[in-house]
Amino acid sequence: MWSDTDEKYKDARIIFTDTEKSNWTWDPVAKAYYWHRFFSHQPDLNYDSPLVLEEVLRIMRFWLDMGVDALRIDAIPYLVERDGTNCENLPETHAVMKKIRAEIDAHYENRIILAEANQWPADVRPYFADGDECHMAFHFPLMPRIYMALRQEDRLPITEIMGQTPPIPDTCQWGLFLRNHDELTLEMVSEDERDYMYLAYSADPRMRINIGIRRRLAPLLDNNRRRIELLNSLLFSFPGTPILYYGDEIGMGDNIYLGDRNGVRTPMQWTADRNAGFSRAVPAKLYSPVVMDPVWGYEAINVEAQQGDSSSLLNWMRNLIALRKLFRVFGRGALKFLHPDNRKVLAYIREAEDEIVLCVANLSRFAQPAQLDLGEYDGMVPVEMLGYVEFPTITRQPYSVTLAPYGFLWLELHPSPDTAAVQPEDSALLLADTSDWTSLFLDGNLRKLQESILPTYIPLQRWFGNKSAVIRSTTIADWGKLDATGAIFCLVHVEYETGNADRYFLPLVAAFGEAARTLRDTSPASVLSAVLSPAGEGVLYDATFDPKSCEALLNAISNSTTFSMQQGSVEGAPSSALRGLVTKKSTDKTLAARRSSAEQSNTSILFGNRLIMKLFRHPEPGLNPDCEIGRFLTEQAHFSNIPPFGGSIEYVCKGDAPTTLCMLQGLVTNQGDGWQWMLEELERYYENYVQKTIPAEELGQPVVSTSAPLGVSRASQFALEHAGVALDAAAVLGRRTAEMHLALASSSSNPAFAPEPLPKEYFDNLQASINAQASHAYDLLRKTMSGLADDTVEIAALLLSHRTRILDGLGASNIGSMDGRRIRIHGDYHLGQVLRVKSDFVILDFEGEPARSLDIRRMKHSPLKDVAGMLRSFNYAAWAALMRYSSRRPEDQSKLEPWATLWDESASAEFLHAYMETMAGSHLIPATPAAQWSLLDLYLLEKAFYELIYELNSRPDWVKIPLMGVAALLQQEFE
Amino acid sequence: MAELEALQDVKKESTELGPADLLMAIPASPTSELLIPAVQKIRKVCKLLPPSCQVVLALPGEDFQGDPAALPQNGSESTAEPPLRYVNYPLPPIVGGIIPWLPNAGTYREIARLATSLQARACTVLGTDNGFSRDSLTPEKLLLLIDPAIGGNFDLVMPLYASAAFDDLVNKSMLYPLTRALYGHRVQNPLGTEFQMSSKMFAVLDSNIARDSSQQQGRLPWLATLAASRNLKICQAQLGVRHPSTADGIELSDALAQLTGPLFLDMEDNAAFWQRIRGSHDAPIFGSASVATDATDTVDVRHMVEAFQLGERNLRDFWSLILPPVTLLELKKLSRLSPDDFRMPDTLWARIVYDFALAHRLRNIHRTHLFGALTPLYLGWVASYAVEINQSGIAAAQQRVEQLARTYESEKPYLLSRWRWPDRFHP
Repeated sequence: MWSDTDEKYKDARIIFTDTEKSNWTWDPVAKAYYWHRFFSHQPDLNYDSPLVLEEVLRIMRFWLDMGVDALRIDAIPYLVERDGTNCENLPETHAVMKKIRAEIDAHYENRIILAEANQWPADVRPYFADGDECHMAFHFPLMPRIYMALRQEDRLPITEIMGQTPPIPDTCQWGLFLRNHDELTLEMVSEDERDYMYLAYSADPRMRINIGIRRRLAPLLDNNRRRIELLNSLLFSFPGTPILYYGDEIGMGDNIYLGDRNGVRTPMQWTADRNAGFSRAVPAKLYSPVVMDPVWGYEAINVEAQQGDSSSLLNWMRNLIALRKLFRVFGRGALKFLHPDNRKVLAYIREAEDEIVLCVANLSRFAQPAQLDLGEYDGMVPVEMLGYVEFPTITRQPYSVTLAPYGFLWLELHPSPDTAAVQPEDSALLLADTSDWTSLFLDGNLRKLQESILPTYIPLQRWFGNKSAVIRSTTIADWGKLDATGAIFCLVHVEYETGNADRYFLPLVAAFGEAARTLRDTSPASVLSAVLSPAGEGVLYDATFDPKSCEALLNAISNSTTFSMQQGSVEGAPSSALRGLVTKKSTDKTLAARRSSAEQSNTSILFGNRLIMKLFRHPEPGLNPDCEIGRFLTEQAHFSNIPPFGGSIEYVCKGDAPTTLCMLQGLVTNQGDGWQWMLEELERYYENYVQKTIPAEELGQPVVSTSAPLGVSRASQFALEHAGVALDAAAVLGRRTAEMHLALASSSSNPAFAPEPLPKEYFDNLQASINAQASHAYDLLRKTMSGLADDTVEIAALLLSHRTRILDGLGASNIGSMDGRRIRIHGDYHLGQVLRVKSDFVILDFEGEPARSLDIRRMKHSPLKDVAGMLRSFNYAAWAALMRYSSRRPEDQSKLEPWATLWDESASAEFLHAYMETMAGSHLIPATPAAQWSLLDLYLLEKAFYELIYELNSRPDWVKIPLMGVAALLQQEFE
Repeated sequence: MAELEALQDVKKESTELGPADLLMAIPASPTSELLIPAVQKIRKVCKLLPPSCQVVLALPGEDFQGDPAALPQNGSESTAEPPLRYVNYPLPPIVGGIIPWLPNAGTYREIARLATSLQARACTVLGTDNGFSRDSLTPEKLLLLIDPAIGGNFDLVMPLYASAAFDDLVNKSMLYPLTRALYGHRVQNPLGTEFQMSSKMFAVLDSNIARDSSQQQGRLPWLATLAASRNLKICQAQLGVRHPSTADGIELSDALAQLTGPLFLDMEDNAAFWQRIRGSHDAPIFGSASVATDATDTVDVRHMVEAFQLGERNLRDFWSLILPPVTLLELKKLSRLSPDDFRMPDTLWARIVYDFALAHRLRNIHRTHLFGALTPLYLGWVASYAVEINQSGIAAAQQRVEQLARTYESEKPYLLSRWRWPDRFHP
């Protein structure tokens, strides 16, 4: 770049201030000034000239053709000059770089350009452009700050400059270094920082040059091995490509008595031989003398010696480099600083894809503690990377580390062993042939099913009843293929640690390909296991989620199909009503199967809007009362307020009574179950009367008088006016309940249904059962009392304080035989077991309490047991609705409590009245009021204690309801 | 006649054939006595495949090398059979191979290239030692090998052979447990020579070997580790009983070098991968297991124990360059035991193998000598295994191998710590 004048580009600063007075120098031969941003013996090229640029490209191609991998573009900000600017980082410079890059990309592969721009990161960033200029650029400002942080024992200089470092394109990378062939430049620091660095690292003025310090790494760090290792640990773990300056890997020294930057450019010290093995020339003829002093000289520090010393810096560096190469995260991962209170500790996370590394460095001369917030990595296990040493698992609490002086830790964060070890292939079942289901129940597949798949799957199902028990083993007791749909019936024997056991019914089927993927997405809970077959991946899942399998079940009933299992057989049996149910007139002509979402201890499948099939998940050998009663009421008693019985599927095995697996019924169009319907009524009731007060005369005495015969008391006019719809419904329900009982007692020839007397033994057993329940409830209440709500604790305390008296009283009451009869009853009767159908009710679910054995569920009782169940249900509805209401408006709770009592007692009175009126003359109910009431109270107490135990175990927030029920029934004991 | 006529119509260039669904390749030149039954078997396999499946059988060499006159003049089913086309491919010379039946990477690369050029969906390789001709490998079993990859669900189907308690001991003691611990896949015959590749797998194989130098083309290809390190899906197919190929005249140390050396080299190449693998998981197995007939004779371990003791005396200094003091002490104690009491703990053996793998990487001793030094140690392990397993049967042997494999896994942190920071100052 020639000029007739040295007045151009006046705004460009002089960089080498120690040696140069101007950026222009006069050439007496050319009789012109030439431009140089650095030394006068380094004239700049004129990149504005196309010929110059072409020549540069030609030289570049020469070296690239020779196999050079990378080109360093030295002093890149100063390529082009323009008047009126500082001649740095000009747009024209970027245009030149784009041309150079395009030339390389067009003709070469896997070559890079490294930019040398001693600038702030934000100013260097444009040299990456959109990934179409330089591949890499040195990160100059980081280097002096690493030294500053070390000397000040404070991480701030490092975190600050990294905070100012902008993101770069994915195809680009920073070049990081601790030292290079130039001085440790202090251009990119403030004046104070520069002064500090001079004072800290260049005690002798000869160590300074231009705006920097001309020293090597080891002398800068006072030859302290731990400091050298610490700084290298930062270099190798920060985002970028670490660049080592030759000789620093063995801790070479420098020679500050040589001119310019030659002190850090002395020959490599290979061996302890002449000229450090660098040259065989006469020592005096060397261009650059080797370092020879006793500490830094080549005889003490050389490659050969360090190769033979496994603890040498050279070997340490080699190990560190090899280690870094194992982890892509160091080069490519994101950087996130942690902020422990102790600023002498620098902690950061490097994270890329599945690699997470925690780096912690102690910048201090002394051991330092730090508490790291690693909450987001809760459960992960840090493993020290150098020695593969496992550290304590991370929790949500601050993670404590202690670091030795200048110590550092690199820790890989591993997933917790629980989540890391299991691979899908481990648990997948293997089918060599998708039509060969037999292999599912053989060898490895059977082992997987029994040992891992079923013990994991079963406890998660809503129909699994023994949730508090620990499963010891699961065994496939029997299995068989239903039909061509591929569905399999499985009976699984589940044994618990307690020694008890249950049997569960699992219909299974497999799906492959897209169907399997859809199932995983839409019904993940249905999937037991992955299935691998040569034809593809699939899933084994609950067949009730497969409409075709469900339809096969229906066909098995309607066609009276029998199919073999391994041990027994399965038989479908339709009822006499099924044909009528299937062919009844309906808007929905199909019987398309769909699974009901309302799953509890059983699973229900709906067929169009005509049929519903109930799968008994916990089948027991023996007649299922739901089927037995359904069939009896439909085919013999012709009781119409139940869903008509359509048929069943039973499992028959030699030596066992038949086991009902499925029951089919007509589907009843309804407005919801009685529980929901009553709750909605109550919601309106509370909403309407929250601001009103019940007249005093309504509150004085109970609606239902125990001194009058059962069913005589009626709801008051006031109650009828305020809750008339619900009370009318209660009366209808009372009437239907009575009709149900009359129907159940209608056959004297069928021993399973013939009414029987109520002997004394029955009452003895009943009282013993209540006593045991009461005792258990008291124990539970005592244990859980501290966790109960304040208003519940008060009632609980009252009951507990009278514990002995109550238990004694229950034990002492002694009922002899009674008139009235015991008959088959519903057994688990409450509002949830009836459906509201227009202004009537249909009664469902004669299965009894599923937790009890079939023998117990098929026992005969006084019909008052069902009555007690429904009365408790009214009480529950009144208070549950109030709880729901007052959860939104707690201030109204106390105002509404009298309304709740009024509703509960009035509904009970109307129910009892209608019930007794319908039962009149049946002789099923004891004749005397005293007997009626004492029997009803016993059943109420039994039910209330049962509820109390249930709520204490499952829903502590609801405990108050049965507690109040028990307290009300035992009121006389408190007086 | 069908085979004879077809073989005489072998196409020289794959381009003459057009695309294929399945390439079946024989990676060694078979004799005509073996080839004809093999072709008949392949035809039976073709019958079991969907009718639309286009199958090409690749034969090595420029031409069929057998004597056509010697071929049996039977076989008249050609008209009803699905078409089976033939192609030749070049069989590169085996470089430096001592075990003749082991394949080399160059052969596999040629097969992979051919499969790529035919745009095949999958490629079945039928074994280099003509084991594919054995009766126990039925067409139905071959189908187990073919199905998973041709369906696109697995990328590599490795064979699973039933072996007797004292067969295949290099695999049982080192190859299987080491690859399982390193790569996390329980592939029981990682060097099986009958296998199936998906198009993804043979593309990887082609590009991987193509990058290697010609010298490395003679290197034993570890397909299972290659697939694992590329996160490809691996499964296994039960291919029945396969008796070990003869090893007469092969020095044990040479065999160890040829079998284990490439695995150690792979460890270096894939260090970044296997160091992040924890535990292991099943590689799915298709087909039912066969049971090999077990020899009932008791194995005499005296010579093996003597070889170990001799090694302990003569190679102690050499071993000290590889093994840490605590291992050397254990070996010294072992050398004092009588053959009947000779037991080499699994932990000790696993650590020895790991230390040898590390020494192989660090190159602090010549690699040929390294395997020579490993030989008496290996004989020590075999002796210990034999003393434990003698007459206990195949099931006990399988359990023993499984236990060893678990030890390799539990000792993997030892390997990692040694690999990452190979400090001589080690306990």
